[in-house]
Amino acid sequence: MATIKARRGLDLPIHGAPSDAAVVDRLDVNRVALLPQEVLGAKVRLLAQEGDTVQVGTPLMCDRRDEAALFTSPAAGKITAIHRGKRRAVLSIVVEATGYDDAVPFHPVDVSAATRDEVKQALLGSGLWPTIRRRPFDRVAISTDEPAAIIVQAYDSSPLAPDLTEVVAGRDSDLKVGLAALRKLTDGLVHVAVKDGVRWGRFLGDGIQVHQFRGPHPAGTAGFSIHSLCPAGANRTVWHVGVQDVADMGRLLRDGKRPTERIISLGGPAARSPKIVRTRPGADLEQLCLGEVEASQPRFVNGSAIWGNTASVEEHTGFVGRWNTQVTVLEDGVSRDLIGWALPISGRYTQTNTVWDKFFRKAFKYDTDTNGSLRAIVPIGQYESVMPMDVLATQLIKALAAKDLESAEKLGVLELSEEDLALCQVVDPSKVPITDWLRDMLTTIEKEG
Amino acid sequence: MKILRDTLDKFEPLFTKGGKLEKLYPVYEAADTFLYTPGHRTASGPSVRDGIDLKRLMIMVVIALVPATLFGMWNVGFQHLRATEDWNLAPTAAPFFECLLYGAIKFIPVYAVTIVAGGTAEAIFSIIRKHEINEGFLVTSLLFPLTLPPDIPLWQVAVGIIFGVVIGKEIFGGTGMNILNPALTARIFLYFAYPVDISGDRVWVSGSGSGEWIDGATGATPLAFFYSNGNAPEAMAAADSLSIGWFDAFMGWIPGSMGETSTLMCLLGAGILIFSKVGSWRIMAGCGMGMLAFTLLLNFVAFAAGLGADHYTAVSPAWHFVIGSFAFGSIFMATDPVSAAQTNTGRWIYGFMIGALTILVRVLNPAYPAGIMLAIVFMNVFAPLIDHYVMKANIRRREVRLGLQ
Repeated sequence: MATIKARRGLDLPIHGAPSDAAVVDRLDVNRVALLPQEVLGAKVRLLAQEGDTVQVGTPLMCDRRDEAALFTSPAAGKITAIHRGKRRAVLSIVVEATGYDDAVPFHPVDVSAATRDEVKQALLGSGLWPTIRRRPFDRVAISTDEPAAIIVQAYDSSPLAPDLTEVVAGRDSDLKVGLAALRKLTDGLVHVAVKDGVRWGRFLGDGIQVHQFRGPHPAGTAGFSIHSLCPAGANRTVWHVGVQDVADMGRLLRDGKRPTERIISLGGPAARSPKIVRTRPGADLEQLCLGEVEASQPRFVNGSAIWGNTASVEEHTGFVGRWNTQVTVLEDGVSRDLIGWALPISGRYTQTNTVWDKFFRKAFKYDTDTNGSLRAIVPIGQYESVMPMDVLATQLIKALAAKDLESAEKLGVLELSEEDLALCQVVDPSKVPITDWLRDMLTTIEKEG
Repeated sequence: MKILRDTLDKFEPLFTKGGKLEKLYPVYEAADTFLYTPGHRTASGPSVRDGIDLKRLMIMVVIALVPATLFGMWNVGFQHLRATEDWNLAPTAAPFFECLLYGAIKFIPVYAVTIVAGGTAEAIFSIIRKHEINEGFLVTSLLFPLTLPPDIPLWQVAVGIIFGVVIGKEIFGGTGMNILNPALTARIFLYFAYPVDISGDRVWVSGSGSGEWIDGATGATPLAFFYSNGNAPEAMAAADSLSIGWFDAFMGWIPGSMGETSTLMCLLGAGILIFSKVGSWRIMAGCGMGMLAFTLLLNFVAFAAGLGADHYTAVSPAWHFVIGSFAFGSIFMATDPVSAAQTNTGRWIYGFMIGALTILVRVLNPAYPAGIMLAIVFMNVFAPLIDHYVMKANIRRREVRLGLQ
């Protein structure tokens, strides 16, 4: 139970944290969806058509790159729409739910007696496989991977994230089965990353270790856990999975019950009353956030304000994402302020001490203003100041900018995902698109093998 | 204020794609974002962003330079008054506003020429290369005049800053890509191209050419004294005859370039830079440590070789700290984030080497007393090499972790 400390990072002082840890039921959602574009680079093969009647667990699609892993329906009902975007890419598969009890039967698996292949097949067919992701490239785990380790992330240090220990409180037996199942999938160790102070010794077992993390964000992210515990690289694959998903796996394998509930936090500067809610996987944000938003132009973010993706109702992506434990609501209407760069008080937070609001304000109502325009990189050490990993942030980012594949790979790009460099982009005075560059680089490397 | 916004919006179509003045878009963008925050929304990546941008960052450096600038203007006037009226005039007895006004009359034209000439070069390059006019020039244009003597001919200022902007920065691709510090490049260009107007004992106090100086007045700086006299007690005695003590040099009421004489004001600037997290404290600390270590080494050599306390290698670190432009250079010039080393380890090495090289050039090289200027440019060139080895070490650690080595 060693404690691992992030020595650098930043806890964004963002307004809109849930005031109460109590979980509020919002299970009344009757529209849910899968978001295929979350699966980066997915080549979607639809397994059901518009108008089909589906049960919980009916396969809706798979990724042609790895057809064994099925993506299944989170609800029972009827497929009312399959929205497509540019180049006919499937944006969302929407299911109008009539209920959540009518499920495709699943035969429980006795994990302790099962072989690796049995566990794997059970997960692949159940629709829970895509909850596992892998580094390098941070995509859905490939069914033929031999992971060197599996990280179970039970601590999320992102701003406004829920306390994951609370989220899975009372699900010890589910978790134990889930961890045992993961243990079957790797020859290496299963590492459980928890927040400093959480006593999870009861989950320790043969090949299962618990590690405590502390420090500012990104102390509780999969990227930092992987970097600290078992760095990924070209020749070493590491899987990571959220603790809520592990509990769901455990429940499925033990009782044959498919997951139809998910606990997320609903917060942000533009949320009326931030709270932790129990809702449906893939829930429609329009329904979920009805009456919860106070903004002239709200923006929903699937995930935290730092690394989350915009969920847009107009673009048919306004649904809770697969790996999410939070939805952030931000004000999207930004204004142009006169000589904004000169005033020492501007209502905004900066990690540097060039704006002084931070000395008398605890939380900031962030909006989606970039607070500056695009410029060349001027490295004043801002990237390093939020990078706890042994990664030379400025050099890596410059290699990404220059599309220098060889240097980027040597400097550790394969360990990283958007989540890890997002903080660098947040604090960047030059406003360069770091995470876009990162994804372009990863895609190129993956293609060129 | 709505009128202003409306006017800008009205003219915007002229400068955007397809407009008549499309080519001048960088100029419009500079004016528009100078007056108003850009109001862009985050389109990809993180949805929220930090409140800092390059404008704010650069303006912070300018603010850090303000104390040195104001003091420098006053000092130009004060030195002039000393040389023309009373050599033993006490700084506190000098008429404050008169000194400031005289200095302003000397400084502002130099500053204005720098802005106009350099700014034009910058704008032309931005238009041709189709990138935004970068705020970095705000800093360059203030740093450069501060390193010049008060009576510098204005045409030299123009030539110098154009050289600095073009050769020091733009040919590498503009701010962010430059290898050398543009202000320093301009200063060094003048130093080698027109040495008469920028070195020697006569240029550091205003009015030497016009015959206004009284008998006994000299423009020699303490650095030059230590240097040319070649032995410390004599130099100090000479300095005493100029009524220059350590405290005077620290406060900065001594002859020198327009803005770099006062160590105190530079330290104030360092405080602002470090507090606002805009300047690298690692580089500054590295410079100090390098200077200290190398000076002590020389002091030890002087002691061991029996050169005694009267040899110039025996000049103490305390003096080296306050004379010449060591403080100005290591606080404002060496910390230019683009031309300095860009890894944290690299910044320490880079700073340390600047400090050590400054003393090396000052004490052991008979041709150039202004060591810091050459030391910084030299290390600017070496900064990528330092970073390269820091990167190599990082890459090696990663390979070991991944079991590749």
